Amino acid sequence: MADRNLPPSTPPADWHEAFAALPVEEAPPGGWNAVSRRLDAQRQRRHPRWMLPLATAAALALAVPVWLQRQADAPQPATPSAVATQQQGDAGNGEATAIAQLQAESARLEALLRYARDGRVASGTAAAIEVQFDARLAAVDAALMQPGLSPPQQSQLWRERVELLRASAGLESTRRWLAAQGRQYQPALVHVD
Amino acid sequence: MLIESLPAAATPPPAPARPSSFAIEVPDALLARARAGERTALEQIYRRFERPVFTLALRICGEREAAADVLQDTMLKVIARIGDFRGRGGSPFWGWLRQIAVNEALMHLRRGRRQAGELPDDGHEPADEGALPPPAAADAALLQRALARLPATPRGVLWLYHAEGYTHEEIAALMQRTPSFSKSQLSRGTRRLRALLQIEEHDHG
Repeated sequence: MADRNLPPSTPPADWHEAFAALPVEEAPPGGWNAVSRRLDAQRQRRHPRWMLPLATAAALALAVPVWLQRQADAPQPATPSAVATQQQGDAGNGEATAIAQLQAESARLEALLRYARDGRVASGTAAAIEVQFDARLAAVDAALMQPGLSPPQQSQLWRERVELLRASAGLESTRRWLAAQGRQYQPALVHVD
Repeated sequence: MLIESLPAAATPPPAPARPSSFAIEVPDALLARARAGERTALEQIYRRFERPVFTLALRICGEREAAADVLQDTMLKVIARIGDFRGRGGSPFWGWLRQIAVNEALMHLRRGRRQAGELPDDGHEPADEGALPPPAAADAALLQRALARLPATPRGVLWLYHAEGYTHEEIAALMQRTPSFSKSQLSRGTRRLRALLQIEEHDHG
Protein backbone atom coordinates (compact mmCIF):
# COMPACT_ATOMS: atom_id res chain seq x y z
CA MET A 1 0.00 0.00 0.00
CA ALA A 2 1.29 3.47 -0.82
CA ASP A 3 2.59 5.45 2.13
CA ARG A 4 1.45 9.08 2.15
CA ASN A 5 4.49 10.09 4.20
CA LEU A 6 6.93 8.95 1.54
CA PRO A 7 7.97 11.26 -1.30
CA PRO A 8 6.24 10.50 -4.63
CA SER A 9 7.70 7.41 -6.35
CA THR A 10 9.83 7.86 -9.43
CA PRO A 11 7.87 6.39 -12.31
CA PRO A 12 9.57 3.35 -13.81
CA ALA A 13 11.26 3.94 -17.16
CA ASP A 14 9.06 1.31 -18.82
CA TRP A 15 6.84 -1.66 -18.09
CA HIS A 16 9.80 -4.04 -18.11
CA GLU A 17 11.36 -2.15 -15.25
CA ALA A 18 8.06 -1.96 -13.34
CA PHE A 19 7.46 -5.72 -13.64
CA ALA A 20 11.06 -6.62 -12.88
CA ALA A 21 10.84 -4.68 -9.62
CA LEU A 22 7.98 -6.82 -8.32
CA PRO A 23 9.07 -9.23 -5.57
CA VAL A 24 9.49 -12.94 -6.18
CA GLU A 25 6.66 -14.68 -4.32
CA GLU A 26 7.15 -17.23 -1.55
CA ALA A 27 5.52 -20.58 -2.34
CA PRO A 28 3.41 -22.25 0.38
CA PRO A 29 5.48 -24.47 2.69
CA GLY A 30 5.65 -28.24 2.25
CA GLY A 31 5.76 -28.17 -1.54
CA TRP A 32 8.69 -30.54 -1.88
CA ASN A 33 7.17 -33.00 0.61
CA ALA A 34 4.02 -33.12 -1.49
CA VAL A 35 6.02 -33.68 -4.69
CA SER A 36 8.08 -36.35 -2.95
CA ARG A 37 4.94 -38.15 -1.80
CA ARG A 38 3.53 -38.08 -5.32
CA LEU A 39 6.80 -39.49 -6.66
CA ASP A 40 6.57 -42.30 -4.08
CA ALA A 41 2.98 -42.97 -5.11
CA GLN A 42 3.99 -43.13 -8.77
CA ARG A 43 6.80 -45.54 -7.92
CA GLN A 44 4.42 -47.60 -5.82
CA ARG A 45 2.06 -47.94 -8.78
CA ARG A 46 4.93 -49.06 -10.99
CA HIS A 47 6.31 -51.47 -8.37
CA PRO A 48 3.55 -52.79 -6.08
CA ARG A 49 4.41 -53.36 -2.42
CA TRP A 50 4.29 -57.15 -2.63
CA MET A 51 7.15 -57.08 -5.13
CA LEU A 52 9.52 -55.23 -2.81
CA PRO A 53 10.93 -58.20 -0.85
CA LEU A 54 11.47 -60.14 -4.08
CA ALA A 55 13.02 -57.16 -5.83
CA THR A 56 15.28 -56.41 -2.90
CA ALA A 57 16.46 -59.97 -2.55
CA ALA A 58 17.08 -60.23 -6.27
CA ALA A 59 18.89 -56.90 -6.42
CA LEU A 60 21.10 -57.72 -3.46
CA ALA A 61 21.83 -61.17 -4.82
CA LEU A 62 23.02 -59.56 -8.05
CA ALA A 63 24.73 -56.54 -6.57
CA VAL A 64 26.88 -58.16 -3.91
CA PRO A 65 28.80 -60.63 -6.15
CA VAL A 66 29.28 -57.94 -8.80
CA TRP A 67 30.60 -55.55 -6.19
CA LEU A 68 32.96 -58.19 -4.75
CA GLN A 69 34.22 -58.97 -8.25
CA ARG A 70 34.84 -55.27 -8.92
CA GLN A 71 36.68 -54.92 -5.65
CA ALA A 72 38.92 -57.82 -6.64
CA ASP A 73 39.54 -56.49 -10.16
CA ALA A 74 39.88 -52.80 -9.41
CA PRO A 75 43.32 -51.20 -9.05
CA GLN A 76 44.00 -49.79 -5.61
CA PRO A 77 43.10 -46.11 -6.06
CA ALA A 78 44.10 -44.71 -2.72
CA THR A 79 47.89 -44.58 -2.86
CA PRO A 80 49.31 -41.14 -3.68
CA SER A 81 51.86 -42.56 -6.09
CA ALA A 82 49.16 -44.29 -8.10
CA VAL A 83 47.13 -41.10 -8.23
CA ALA A 84 50.14 -39.07 -9.32
CA THR A 85 51.01 -41.55 -12.08
CA GLN A 86 47.47 -41.46 -13.34
CA GLN A 87 47.40 -37.67 -13.37
CA GLN A 88 50.56 -37.57 -15.44
CA GLY A 89 48.93 -39.80 -18.06
CA ASP A 90 45.72 -39.09 -19.87
CA ALA A 91 44.25 -37.34 -16.86
CA GLY A 92 41.45 -35.52 -18.69
CA ASN A 93 39.66 -38.42 -20.40
CA GLY A 94 40.49 -40.91 -17.69
CA GLU A 95 39.11 -38.69 -14.97
CA ALA A 96 35.93 -37.94 -16.92
CA THR A 97 35.36 -41.65 -17.53
CA ALA A 98 36.02 -42.46 -13.88
CA ILE A 99 33.55 -39.77 -12.76
CA ALA A 100 30.90 -41.04 -15.17
CA GLN A 101 31.37 -44.60 -13.87
CA LEU A 102 31.15 -43.42 -10.27
CA GLN A 103 28.00 -41.42 -11.02
CA ALA A 104 26.39 -44.46 -12.63
CA GLU A 105 27.41 -46.65 -9.70
CA SER A 106 26.07 -44.05 -7.28
CA ALA A 107 22.72 -44.00 -9.07
CA ARG A 108 22.49 -47.82 -9.08
CA LEU A 109 23.26 -48.03 -5.37
CA GLU A 110 20.83 -45.26 -4.53
CA ALA A 111 18.06 -47.00 -6.49
CA LEU A 112 18.88 -50.24 -4.69
CA LEU A 113 18.76 -48.51 -1.32
CA ARG A 114 15.40 -46.94 -2.06
CA TYR A 115 13.98 -50.45 -2.38
CA ALA A 116 15.96 -51.94 0.46
CA ARG A 117 15.23 -49.37 3.14
CA ASP A 118 12.16 -50.26 5.13
CA GLY A 119 11.33 -48.35 8.31
CA ARG A 120 9.09 -51.17 9.54
CA VAL A 121 12.05 -53.40 10.35
CA ALA A 122 14.43 -50.78 11.74
CA SER A 123 15.67 -50.84 15.32
CA GLY A 124 16.38 -47.50 16.94
CA THR A 125 20.14 -48.01 16.66
CA ALA A 126 19.95 -49.00 13.01
CA ALA A 127 17.75 -46.00 12.26
CA ALA A 128 20.30 -43.73 13.99
CA ILE A 129 23.10 -45.17 11.83
CA GLU A 130 20.95 -44.62 8.78
CA VAL A 131 20.55 -40.96 9.78
CA GLN A 132 24.34 -40.73 10.13
CA PHE A 133 24.80 -42.14 6.64
CA ASP A 134 22.28 -39.66 5.25
CA ALA A 135 23.98 -36.74 7.00
CA ARG A 136 27.36 -37.72 5.59
CA LEU A 137 25.85 -38.18 2.17
CA ALA A 138 24.35 -34.70 2.40
CA ALA A 139 27.79 -33.32 3.32
CA VAL A 140 29.33 -34.95 0.24
CA ASP A 141 26.49 -33.63 -1.92
CA ALA A 142 27.05 -30.13 -0.54
CA ALA A 143 30.76 -30.42 -1.36
CA LEU A 144 29.89 -31.56 -4.89
CA MET A 145 27.79 -28.43 -5.33
CA GLN A 146 30.79 -26.16 -4.81
CA PRO A 147 31.75 -24.32 -7.98
CA GLY A 148 35.18 -24.72 -9.53
CA LEU A 149 35.93 -28.26 -8.40
CA SER A 150 38.77 -29.82 -10.33
CA PRO A 151 38.15 -33.23 -11.97
CA PRO A 152 40.31 -35.04 -9.35
CA GLN A 153 38.35 -33.35 -6.56
CA GLN A 154 35.06 -34.32 -8.20
CA SER A 155 36.30 -37.84 -8.68
CA GLN A 156 37.34 -38.10 -5.03
CA LEU A 157 33.96 -36.82 -3.83
CA TRP A 158 32.03 -39.18 -6.09
CA ARG A 159 34.22 -42.04 -4.81
CA GLU A 160 33.34 -41.07 -1.23
CA ARG A 161 29.67 -40.98 -2.17
CA VAL A 162 29.78 -44.45 -3.72
CA GLU A 163 31.64 -45.87 -0.72
CA LEU A 164 29.05 -44.40 1.65
CA LEU A 165 26.22 -45.88 -0.40
CA ARG A 166 27.95 -49.27 -0.50
CA ALA A 167 28.34 -49.25 3.26
CA SER A 168 24.71 -48.26 3.65
CA ALA A 169 23.63 -51.06 1.28
CA GLY A 170 25.66 -53.53 3.35
CA LEU A 171 23.90 -52.38 6.51
CA GLU A 172 20.51 -52.75 4.85
CA SER A 173 21.19 -56.28 3.64
CA THR A 174 22.38 -57.35 7.10
CA ARG A 175 19.37 -55.75 8.72
CA ARG A 176 16.96 -57.49 6.36
CA TRP A 177 18.67 -60.85 6.86
CA LEU A 178 18.33 -60.45 10.64
CA ALA A 179 14.73 -59.28 10.32
CA ALA A 180 13.91 -62.40 8.28
CA GLN A 181 15.10 -64.41 11.28
CA GLY A 182 13.00 -62.39 13.71
CA ARG A 183 15.97 -60.50 15.11
CA GLN A 184 16.87 -56.83 15.16
CA TYR A 185 20.02 -55.05 14.15
CA GLN A 186 21.83 -54.04 17.36
CA PRO A 187 25.29 -53.18 16.14
CA ALA A 188 27.12 -52.93 19.44
CA LEU A 189 30.18 -54.33 17.66
CA VAL A 190 29.81 -52.17 14.57
CA HIS A 191 31.31 -48.75 14.33
CA VAL A 192 30.69 -46.44 11.38
CA ASP A 193 33.54 -44.05 10.67
CA MET B 1 5.05 -30.14 -27.66
CA LEU B 2 6.35 -26.62 -27.49
CA ILE B 3 9.37 -27.31 -25.36
CA GLU B 4 12.59 -26.33 -27.17
CA SER B 5 10.60 -25.90 -30.38
CA LEU B 6 9.31 -22.35 -30.38
CA PRO B 7 9.59 -20.40 -33.62
CA ALA B 8 12.42 -17.97 -34.09
CA ALA B 9 11.73 -14.55 -32.63
CA ALA B 10 10.45 -12.17 -35.32
CA THR B 11 9.47 -9.26 -33.08
CA PRO B 12 11.83 -9.23 -30.15
CA PRO B 13 10.59 -7.35 -27.10
CA PRO B 14 12.90 -4.77 -25.57
CA ALA B 15 15.59 -6.30 -23.38
CA PRO B 16 14.22 -6.88 -19.86
CA ALA B 17 15.52 -4.48 -17.20
CA ARG B 18 16.62 -7.48 -15.17
CA PRO B 19 17.07 -11.07 -16.28
CA SER B 20 14.22 -13.49 -15.67
CA SER B 21 14.00 -14.79 -12.11
CA PHE B 22 14.35 -18.24 -13.71
CA ALA B 23 17.88 -17.47 -14.90
CA ILE B 24 19.55 -19.79 -12.38
CA GLU B 25 22.51 -21.89 -13.45
CA VAL B 26 22.40 -25.58 -12.56
CA PRO B 27 25.76 -27.38 -12.32
CA ASP B 28 26.24 -30.30 -14.70
CA ALA B 29 27.04 -32.62 -11.78
CA LEU B 30 23.72 -31.82 -10.14
CA LEU B 31 21.87 -32.36 -13.42
CA ALA B 32 23.61 -35.70 -13.92
CA ARG B 33 22.54 -36.86 -10.48
CA ALA B 34 18.99 -35.65 -11.04
CA ARG B 35 18.86 -37.53 -14.35
CA ALA B 36 19.97 -40.65 -12.49
CA GLY B 37 16.92 -40.18 -10.25
CA GLU B 38 18.71 -39.20 -7.04
CA ARG B 39 16.05 -37.76 -4.75
CA THR B 40 18.43 -35.33 -3.04
CA ALA B 41 19.45 -33.85 -6.40
CA LEU B 42 15.82 -33.54 -7.49
CA GLU B 43 15.04 -31.76 -4.25
CA GLN B 44 17.88 -29.30 -4.83
CA ILE B 45 16.51 -28.49 -8.27
CA TYR B 46 13.02 -28.08 -6.80
CA ARG B 47 14.31 -25.67 -4.15
CA ARG B 48 16.16 -23.55 -6.71
CA PHE B 49 13.14 -23.07 -8.95
CA GLU B 50 10.30 -23.20 -6.44
CA ARG B 51 9.86 -19.43 -6.12
CA PRO B 52 10.26 -18.43 -9.80
CA VAL B 53 7.75 -21.11 -10.87
CA PHE B 54 5.28 -20.12 -8.16
CA THR B 55 5.61 -16.42 -9.02
CA LEU B 56 5.06 -17.00 -12.73
CA ALA B 57 2.08 -19.25 -12.03
CA LEU B 58 0.60 -16.71 -9.65
CA ARG B 59 0.96 -13.88 -12.18
CA ILE B 60 -0.69 -15.95 -14.92
CA CYS B 61 -3.38 -17.73 -12.89
CA GLY B 62 -4.04 -14.95 -10.38
CA GLU B 63 -4.68 -17.24 -7.38
CA ARG B 64 -2.22 -18.71 -4.87
CA GLU B 65 -4.00 -22.07 -4.72
CA ALA B 66 -3.90 -22.44 -8.48
CA ALA B 67 -0.25 -21.35 -8.51
CA ALA B 68 0.61 -24.03 -5.93
CA ASP B 69 -1.05 -26.67 -8.15
CA VAL B 70 0.87 -25.42 -11.18
CA LEU B 71 4.12 -25.53 -9.18
CA GLN B 72 3.54 -29.19 -8.26
CA ASP B 73 2.48 -30.23 -11.76
CA THR B 74 5.43 -28.39 -13.28
CA MET B 75 7.97 -30.00 -10.99
CA LEU B 76 6.54 -33.49 -11.45
CA LYS B 77 6.71 -33.01 -15.20
CA VAL B 78 10.27 -31.67 -14.99
CA ILE B 79 11.30 -34.70 -12.93
CA ALA B 80 9.55 -37.11 -15.30
CA ARG B 81 11.22 -35.58 -18.36
CA ILE B 82 14.56 -34.47 -17.03
CA GLY B 83 16.24 -37.27 -18.96
CA ASP B 84 14.98 -35.68 -22.19
CA PHE B 85 16.70 -32.33 -21.58
CA ARG B 86 19.64 -32.05 -23.95
CA GLY B 87 20.37 -28.31 -23.90
CA ARG B 88 20.30 -28.15 -27.69
CA GLY B 89 22.15 -25.16 -29.11
CA GLY B 90 23.38 -24.20 -25.66
CA SER B 91 19.86 -23.52 -24.36
CA PRO B 92 19.98 -23.46 -20.57
CA PHE B 93 18.16 -25.81 -18.24
CA TRP B 94 16.24 -22.93 -16.69
CA GLY B 95 14.76 -21.99 -20.08
CA TRP B 96 13.56 -25.56 -20.57
CA LEU B 97 12.04 -25.63 -17.09
CA ARG B 98 10.41 -22.22 -17.57
CA GLN B 99 8.78 -23.44 -20.77
CA ILE B 100 7.19 -26.32 -18.88
CA ALA B 101 6.00 -23.93 -16.16
CA VAL B 102 4.39 -21.56 -18.70
CA ASN B 103 2.70 -24.47 -20.48
CA GLU B 104 1.36 -25.82 -17.19
CA ALA B 105 0.05 -22.40 -16.09
CA LEU B 106 -1.71 -21.83 -19.42
CA MET B 107 -3.09 -25.36 -19.35
CA HIS B 108 -4.45 -24.67 -15.87
CA LEU B 109 -6.22 -21.58 -17.20
CA ARG B 110 -7.70 -23.57 -20.07
CA ARG B 111 -8.89 -26.33 -17.74
CA GLY B 112 -10.60 -23.73 -15.56
CA ARG B 113 -12.14 -22.14 -18.68
CA ARG B 114 -10.71 -18.83 -17.61
CA GLN B 115 -9.24 -18.31 -21.06
CA ALA B 116 -12.47 -16.44 -21.84
CA GLY B 117 -11.05 -13.62 -19.73
CA GLU B 118 -9.84 -11.73 -22.77
CA LEU B 119 -10.16 -8.07 -23.57
CA PRO B 120 -12.45 -7.64 -26.61
CA ASP B 121 -11.13 -6.21 -29.81
CA ASP B 122 -13.10 -2.98 -29.91
CA GLY B 123 -11.57 -1.82 -33.18
CA HIS B 124 -9.70 0.93 -31.42
CA GLU B 125 -6.05 0.92 -32.40
CA PRO B 126 -4.00 1.37 -29.25
CA ALA B 127 -1.46 4.13 -29.31
CA ASP B 128 -0.04 4.22 -25.79
CA GLU B 129 1.83 0.89 -25.56
CA GLY B 130 5.17 2.63 -25.62
CA ALA B 131 4.17 5.42 -23.23
CA LEU B 132 5.69 5.62 -19.76
CA PRO B 133 3.90 3.70 -17.01
CA PRO B 134 2.16 5.94 -14.47
CA PRO B 135 4.00 6.74 -11.21
CA ALA B 136 1.80 4.24 -9.34
CA ALA B 137 3.55 1.43 -11.26
CA ALA B 138 6.59 2.05 -9.03
CA ASP B 139 4.57 0.86 -6.04
CA ALA B 140 4.79 -2.94 -6.02
CA ALA B 141 1.62 -3.39 -3.96
CA LEU B 142 -0.46 -1.17 -6.25
CA LEU B 143 0.93 -2.80 -9.38
CA GLN B 144 0.26 -6.30 -8.04
CA ARG B 145 -3.30 -5.37 -7.13
CA ALA B 146 -3.94 -3.81 -10.52
CA LEU B 147 -2.49 -6.86 -12.29
CA ALA B 148 -4.74 -9.13 -10.22
CA ARG B 149 -7.78 -7.22 -11.49
CA LEU B 150 -6.92 -7.76 -15.16
CA PRO B 151 -8.59 -10.62 -17.04
CA ALA B 152 -6.39 -13.73 -17.15
CA THR B 153 -5.36 -13.63 -20.80
CA PRO B 154 -4.05 -10.05 -21.06
CA ARG B 155 -2.40 -10.47 -17.66
CA GLY B 156 -0.59 -13.57 -18.93
CA VAL B 157 0.43 -11.83 -22.16
CA LEU B 158 1.69 -8.77 -20.25
CA TRP B 159 3.72 -10.92 -17.88
CA LEU B 160 5.22 -13.17 -20.55
CA TYR B 161 6.11 -10.20 -22.76
CA HIS B 162 7.37 -7.70 -20.21
CA ALA B 163 8.68 -9.80 -17.33
CA GLU B 164 9.89 -12.93 -19.13
CA GLY B 165 10.86 -11.39 -22.46
CA TYR B 166 8.81 -13.67 -24.75
CA THR B 167 8.07 -12.43 -28.27
CA HIS B 168 4.55 -12.12 -29.69
CA GLU B 169 5.28 -15.12 -31.92
CA GLU B 170 6.28 -17.20 -28.92
CA ILE B 171 3.26 -16.09 -26.90
CA ALA B 172 0.99 -16.87 -29.83
CA ALA B 173 2.43 -20.38 -30.07
CA LEU B 174 2.03 -20.94 -26.32
CA MET B 175 -1.57 -19.73 -26.32
CA GLN B 176 -2.42 -21.42 -29.61
CA ARG B 177 -3.46 -18.07 -31.10
CA THR B 178 -1.98 -15.63 -33.63
CA PRO B 179 0.74 -13.01 -33.06
CA SER B 180 -1.91 -10.35 -33.80
CA PHE B 181 -3.97 -11.66 -30.92
CA SER B 182 -0.96 -11.39 -28.61
CA LYS B 183 -0.26 -7.82 -29.76
CA SER B 184 -3.88 -6.85 -29.33
CA GLN B 185 -4.10 -8.32 -25.82
CA LEU B 186 -0.84 -6.61 -24.88
CA SER B 187 -2.06 -3.21 -26.04
CA ARG B 188 -5.47 -3.47 -24.48
CA GLY B 189 -4.08 -5.02 -21.35
CA THR B 190 -1.56 -2.20 -21.02
CA ARG B 191 -4.28 0.38 -21.42
CA ARG B 192 -6.49 -1.33 -18.84
CA LEU B 193 -3.58 -1.71 -16.44
CA ARG B 194 -2.77 1.98 -16.74
CA ALA B 195 -6.39 2.86 -15.97
CA LEU B 196 -6.49 0.48 -12.99
CA LEU B 197 -3.26 1.96 -11.62
CA GLN B 198 -4.65 5.46 -11.89
CA ILE B 199 -7.74 4.36 -9.96
CA GLU B 200 -5.55 2.65 -7.34
CA GLU B 201 -3.35 5.72 -7.05
CA HIS B 202 -6.41 7.93 -6.63
CA ASP B 203 -7.86 5.62 -3.96
CA HIS B 204 -4.62 5.28 -1.98
CA GLY B 205 -2.64 8.37 -2.88
